[in-house]
This record gives sequence, structure tokens and C-alpha cells, in this order.
Amino acid sequence: MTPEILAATRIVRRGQVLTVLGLLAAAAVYVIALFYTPVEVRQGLAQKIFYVHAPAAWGALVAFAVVGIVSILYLWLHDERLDLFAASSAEVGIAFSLVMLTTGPIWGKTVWGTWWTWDARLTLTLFLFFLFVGYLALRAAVQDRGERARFSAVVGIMGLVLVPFIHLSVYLFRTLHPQPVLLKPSAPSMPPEMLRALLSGMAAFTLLYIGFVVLRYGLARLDNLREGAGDAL
Amino acid sequence: MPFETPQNGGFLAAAYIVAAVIYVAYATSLFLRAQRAVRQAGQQGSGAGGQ
Repeated sequence: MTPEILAATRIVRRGQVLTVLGLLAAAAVYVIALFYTPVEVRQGLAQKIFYVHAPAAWGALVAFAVVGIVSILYLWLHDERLDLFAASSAEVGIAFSLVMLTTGPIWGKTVWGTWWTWDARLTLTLFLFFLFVGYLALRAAVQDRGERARFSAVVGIMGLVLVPFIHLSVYLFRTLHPQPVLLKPSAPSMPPEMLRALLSGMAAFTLLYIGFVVLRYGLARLDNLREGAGDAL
Repeated sequence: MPFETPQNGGFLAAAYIVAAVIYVAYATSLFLRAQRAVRQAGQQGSGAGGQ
């Protein structure tokens, strides 16, 4: 085996270990959320969707922000590994977005009485999801590696611009979506048991994000080596 | 009239199951793709070594 294949295989193995650890941590969060957090009196059990929904949103926004930042670095340094890493983070971000966009409406139905509303936060999040679906479609459509990396880097940077705008949208517009309870200038506004469960969720799903992205990146490196001038992602 | 906490455990179960299915399905997809890629890279490596 060549050193490049060995290095990529090692990345895959590390990603597999981190992914398994991330899944176990996520399972622990399920247990903490279901059995060790109080039931919110006004919302009932459905409030506990928060412990899955908020970390998924966090994972998705981190993933898409990473795509944008790494894309800037790619345009600067022209290192193909950066392009592969950005594409890996985009795919993982779509998985987290799917969780965010399915658990959100389920929670919304119980609290707002409707599955979906076209307010700023929800609509922008949906646009971000479609932007990165387009990002992966673009990568699949362009054959030339250099062009593919350049074009997708530009789209990735567009996504990065949307990320802070989505976070601030609850302040900028009238919206049904609640304001942040954690990532805000003042102290977190929730009981300690809930805060601990939320922070555990953030940590567990961040680990899961890292596991997914390392595994996907190792896979992209292997594909890249195998296919030579062909598609990596 | 006393306030009653809504009975909506079904929504909680649905959300947790959907999230688990998505994460596990994606992890499985990555593991299967990685397994295939590592096998193919091994064949490629041994082929290159024999040349």
C-alpha cells in the first residue's frame, strides 16, 4: 500500500472510532433527557424534543460554517485536501439539518399548533439546507477537479454568510421561533437540570459531528486516490 | 379551571425516533462506504505493489 492510502485508511479508522463514541454519547443524551430532566409544565413531554433539536441545529450550523471557512482557506491555499474536507462537512451538515428540519416541526405542532410557518428563522434555515443540497449537486455535476473545488468553494462561502444571519434572525424579525437560551450575551435562561442536559447534548452531538466529518473526509481521500482524475464526492 | 399539562408524549417519541433513524442511517451509510473504499484501496495497493 502507498503511504497516501495508509494515511487515508488511518483517518477512516479514527473517524469510525469517533463516530461510535459520538453515537454512544448521543444515546446517553437520550437517557439523560428522557429520565433526568423535569417535564415542563406548559409544554409537557414535547418540550424534551429541545434536547435533540437544538444540538442538531448547532451541529448543522457548525458544519456549514466550517464549509465556508475551509472554502476560504481553499481559495487561498489551493490545497485539495481542504476542498475534500469542506465537501465532507457539507454532507454531514445536511444530515444534521434533516434532524433539525424534522424534529422542529414535530415540536412546533405541539407548541404553535402548526407544523410549519414561513417566518424568518425557519425559512432561512430551509434555504440554507437547499443551498447545501445544491452544493453537493454542483460537485456531482462538475467533472474537472479544479473547477469543482472553486465553484463549490464560492457556494460554501455563500452559506457561511447565511449562518450568522440565521442566528440573529430571531432578533432582526418578528418570529414564532424562540430566542437563543444559550448562545446570547446574557446568562443562560433555563433551570440547571435542563441546562446540563442541553450542554451534554451539545457536547455529544459535537463529538458525533467530528466523528462523521473525519470518517467522511477519510472516505473522500480514499475515493480521490482510487479514482485519480475522477470524482471524489 | 385548573391548568393541565398537555399529554403529547407521542410527539416526543416521534421526534426522538426520527432523529435516531437519521443519525444511525447516515452512520451506517458511512461505515458501508468506508468498508468498500478500504477494501478497494487495499486491492489497488497490492496491485500497485505487484507491478
